[in-house]
This record gives sequence, structure tokens and C-alpha cells, in this order.
Amino acid sequence: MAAFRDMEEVSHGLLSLLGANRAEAQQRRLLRRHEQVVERLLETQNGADRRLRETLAVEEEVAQSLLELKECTRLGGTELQQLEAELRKTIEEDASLQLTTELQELKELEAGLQQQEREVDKDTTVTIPSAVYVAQLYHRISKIEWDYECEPGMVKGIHHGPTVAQPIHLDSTQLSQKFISDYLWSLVDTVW
Amino acid sequence: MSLKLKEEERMVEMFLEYQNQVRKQNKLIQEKKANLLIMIAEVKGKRQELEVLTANIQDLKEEYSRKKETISSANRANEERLKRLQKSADLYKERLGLEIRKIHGDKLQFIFTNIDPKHPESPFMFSLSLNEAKEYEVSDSVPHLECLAEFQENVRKTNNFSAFLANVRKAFTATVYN
Repeated sequence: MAAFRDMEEVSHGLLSLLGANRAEAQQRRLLRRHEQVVERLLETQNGADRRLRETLAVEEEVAQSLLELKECTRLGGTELQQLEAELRKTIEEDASLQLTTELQELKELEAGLQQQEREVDKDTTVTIPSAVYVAQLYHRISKIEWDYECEPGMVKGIHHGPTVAQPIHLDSTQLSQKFISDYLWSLVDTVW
Repeated sequence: MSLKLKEEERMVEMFLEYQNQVRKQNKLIQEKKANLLIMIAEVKGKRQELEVLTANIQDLKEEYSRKKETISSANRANEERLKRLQKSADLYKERLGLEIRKIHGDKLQFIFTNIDPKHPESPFMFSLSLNEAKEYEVSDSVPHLECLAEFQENVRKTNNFSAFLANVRKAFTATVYN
């Protein structure tokens, strides 16, 4: 604005030069003012240039920081993803650490064993004593002891009478069952 | 100029947004890192526990295996013995024509065969039990035997079970020939 005012003054001066007599002095004064105007223009121009440059520099800085920050968020996002993945993996691992099948196998083994044990127990405490009782009963009743090693088809053994032991030797292929039974029972004493 | 200003305003906005985002991210990252560490420690603990348990299970399996062997051989021994006992009883039963059975009510049933020459397989039977006084008690004879009561008295007195049965058989045989 000062430049325009100066230019206005210069114009007025030039006009007054046309009508006045002190041309030389006025001319010099005007030239001086002209110089000043040009100087001030140049100054203003430089100032504007500088400010523009400064603004551009700041803009560049800001843009740079912005880019860096953006990169930061990108890296942060990647790190988060990786952590997420690792966390998922670890949780899966945790869930897989189980012994359910092995425990199931053990339970079945145990149950099987207990079952077998029960069977053996039953045999030992019930079945066998019962069978022993029956065999002993027959022995007590008949007083007969069999020869288990004789040839098949032969009835061989010993009858333990009150006084004598009598051998038994019958061929079951030649004799009827009734005959054999009757004979064997005839050895048993009917005297009370 | 105003376009430049608008652009700069945008940049400032974006800057603040990114800053905020980064803050949030960092917070999340810290949280997740902490969680991860906890989980990793848990997994480690579990693994160790698992190792111990697996070793225990292995030991138990071996123990069970040994036990199974023992039980199996006891079972085999029992089976052998039962076989022999059964064979013995079978021989008596077949040759004497006498079957002895345990029936309900704690009774023993005696079934004679080879009595009737025309029908050797016909059964002649009676039941025996011990009464409250621990005495022999006969019952349910088929066919009925009159002398059974007398025999009961005799066996109670003499305890000669062998003679008792021999006499019963004789009596059954007599019923056939009458």
C-alpha cells in the first residue's frame, strides 16, 4: 500500500514538474522517491518469497510426520494381527492338551480287570467249592475212587469197603448201563 | 490461498486422527501381549502336568497288564480244576445212575436212573434238606416211598448217608418189580 501511495506522489510530482520551474531539484527528488518505491517493492517481494518458502517447509515437515505416523499405525496394525494370531494358536494348543482318550482307555482296562477279577472270585468262592462238595459227596456215598487214566470205555476204580478195598474193572462196551449201576450199588453197604 | 488453508486443516485433522489411532493400538498391543504371556505360562504348566500324568498312566497300564496276567493264569487254573471236578462228577453220575442237584430252598435233589430195566432213563427222585435242628429232612419223593420216613429216622440216628442212599435205591427198584 505504501508503494501505491508513493506512486501517487510520484505522479503528482511529475504533474507539478510540468507547471513548475524548479525542474532539476524536483527531478532529483522524484528519482529518489522512485528508488525508494522500487526498494520497497523488492523488499515486499523477498518477504513474501521467504514466507512462502517457510510455509512450504513447514508443510513438508508436517506431511513427513503424517507419513511417518501413518506408517506407525500400519506397523501397529501388523503387530496386533501377529499377536492375535499367536494368541489364537496358544488357545488352540491349550485346548488340545488333554488326556481324555488315555483316561478312557485306562477306565476300560480297569473295568475289564474288575470283571475278570469278579469271575475268578466267583469261581473260587462259589463254583469250585460247590463242585468240590458234589464230588466229595459222591465219593462219600459210593466209597468209590475212579481211575481216570484208564482206557476209554473201561470202568475202572477201587471201592473202599469197611474192611477190604475191592478193585472195579468193567467193560462198558460189553455191559448195559443198568448192569453197571446195579453192580456198583451192590458194593455199597446197606447196613445202617 | 484458501485451498491451501483447507488442505493444511485436513492435514492437521489427519495427524490428530492417526495419533489417536496409534494411542489406541498401543493400548491394545499392551493388553494382548499381557494375555499372551499368561496363556503361554498356562500352556507350559499344562504341558508339564500332562507329562507327569502320561507317565503315571503308563505305569498304571503296566501294572494292569501284570495284574491281567496274574488273573488270567488264576482263571486258567480255576478252569482246569473245574474241568477235572466236572469230569469226576460226570463219571459218578453216569456210572452210578445218580444225579445230585442243588435246587431252590437250600435243598439237594437226588435223581436215580437205570432203575427200571424197561425204561432206564426214567427218573426216581427225592429231595433232602437240613431243618432248623440241623437234621436231615426228606421230601418230594417221586414215586412215593412208604419206607422213606423210616430211612429218614435211621440216617438221623446213624448219619450213615451212604447206606441211606443205597437203601433208597433198593426201595425204588422194588417199586418197579411190584
